[in-house]
Parts: sequence; C-alpha cells; structure tokens
Amino acid sequence: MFLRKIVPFFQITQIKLTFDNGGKSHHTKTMPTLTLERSKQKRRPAVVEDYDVAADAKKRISLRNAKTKYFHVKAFSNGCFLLEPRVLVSPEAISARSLKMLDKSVANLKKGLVSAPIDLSAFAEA
Amino acid sequence: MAFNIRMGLPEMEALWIDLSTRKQQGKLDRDEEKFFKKLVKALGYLAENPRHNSLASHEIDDLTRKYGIKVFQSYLENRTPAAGRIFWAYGPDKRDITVLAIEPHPEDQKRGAYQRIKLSALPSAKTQAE
Repeated sequence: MFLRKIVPFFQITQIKLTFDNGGKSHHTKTMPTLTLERSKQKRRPAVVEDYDVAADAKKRISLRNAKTKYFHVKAFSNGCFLLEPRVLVSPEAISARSLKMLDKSVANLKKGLVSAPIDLSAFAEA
Repeated sequence: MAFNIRMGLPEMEALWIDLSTRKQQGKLDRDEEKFFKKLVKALGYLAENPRHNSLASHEIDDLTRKYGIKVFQSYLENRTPAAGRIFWAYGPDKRDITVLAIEPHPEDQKRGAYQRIKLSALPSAKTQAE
C-alpha cells in the first residue's frame, strides 16, 4: 500500500518480487548432499492407500509400504499427525564444524600462517 | 621425511602438543591413546608418501573448487564405515603439507544423527500412482 502512494501503478506491475520458496536455503552448491531435490509438484499428491489402523498397547501405529526409513512428525492439537519423508545426509558430506575449521585453515594457509613442522620422530614406533 | 607436516590452525597445533606431551608422560586415557596412535600413523604415512595406500588419499573436488587450492582427504583408519578423516593441502612451501582439519569420527547413527537428517522430496504424483 505504501508503494502505491509514491510509485505509479504501471511501475508496480514491473516489480518482480522474488523470494526463495524452495525450502533449501541451507544447501550450498559447493557441498552437495545426498538429499533429494524437492521436485516441483504440478499436481497434488494422489491418494494411493487409505486404511484405518489401531494403536497398540504402547500407542504405536505401523505404516504400510513406507518408502523411507525416517520421517519428520508433526502432531497437531486436533489429534492429526503429519509425516514427511526424510533422508540421511551422505557420510561424505562434511559437518558444519569441520567446514568452519577448513575455512579458517585455508585462510591461514593462503596467508602463509601455519605451524612449525611437527616432530613425528619420537613416535615413529607408536 | 619427504614432507614436513604443518598444522593450519593454532588449535590443532595445541591439540598435537597436548597429546604428544601427555603421551610421553603416559597420561593419555584409552580413547586418546587410540586416537593418537591412529593420528601418528596417518601423519607418518602422509609425511613419507601422501599417496600411501592406507591413507586412501583423494582430492575433494567440491572443496578444491570452493577454496581454489587442491584439498585432499585421507582416512585415519581402514575398513571402518565411520572412519576419522584428515583434510590437507600441499603448501605453503615446497615439501610442506598443511593439515587443514581433523575429523576424529563422523557422528554415528546414535549421536546427533537426527540433526543431520535433511528434508527429502515427497515422491512425485506420477511415482505414487505407479
């Protein structure tokens, strides 16, 4: 509304508002993970199975034909549960902590700031 | 030795000094002893021959592209699914190798595994229908 007061309408129509709705802002191109790309869904997911289940004595229910091992669970106040499939990050991926360490080390190395050579001779037998 | 091994961070140098001093004093606990033995062995191989079979050294292209210098990864142990890793690069001088990072062991399935789980895609409508 504020924009309309100072910018003519024909200019407003030319403004392209872009914001990331891909949900993968945490991804870096340089360090890809095995995380699957979120596909652009043109159609709503179809219902492939529809069944009733009873919780067991420990209040657990079983999923039939689950495609993934891990799920993110959201429990709603009305008693509904929403499950979203998840995958583990590749073991080849580097943890954030190690990556931070690498950033600092490489910066030091490029400046020539490294330690003196370490002496391994005392532990050659170890 | 063919190469001088240098540490890229003061913290890593401090860790090395601490471990090596306590090793000589016989004050390392069992886990530290185990880790130090692997580290010394790996650094020894790295100093002798960075391409030693036991190290399984290989360049990490993504990191090379990111930093603009060749970054290599070597393993601290063999035949272990969650083996510790060393990241290193040649330099700053000729016959120098700088250890950039040491990852003693990636977090296993029990410790912090859920923190590493990222959202995957919902199967597409097409595959669901099949």
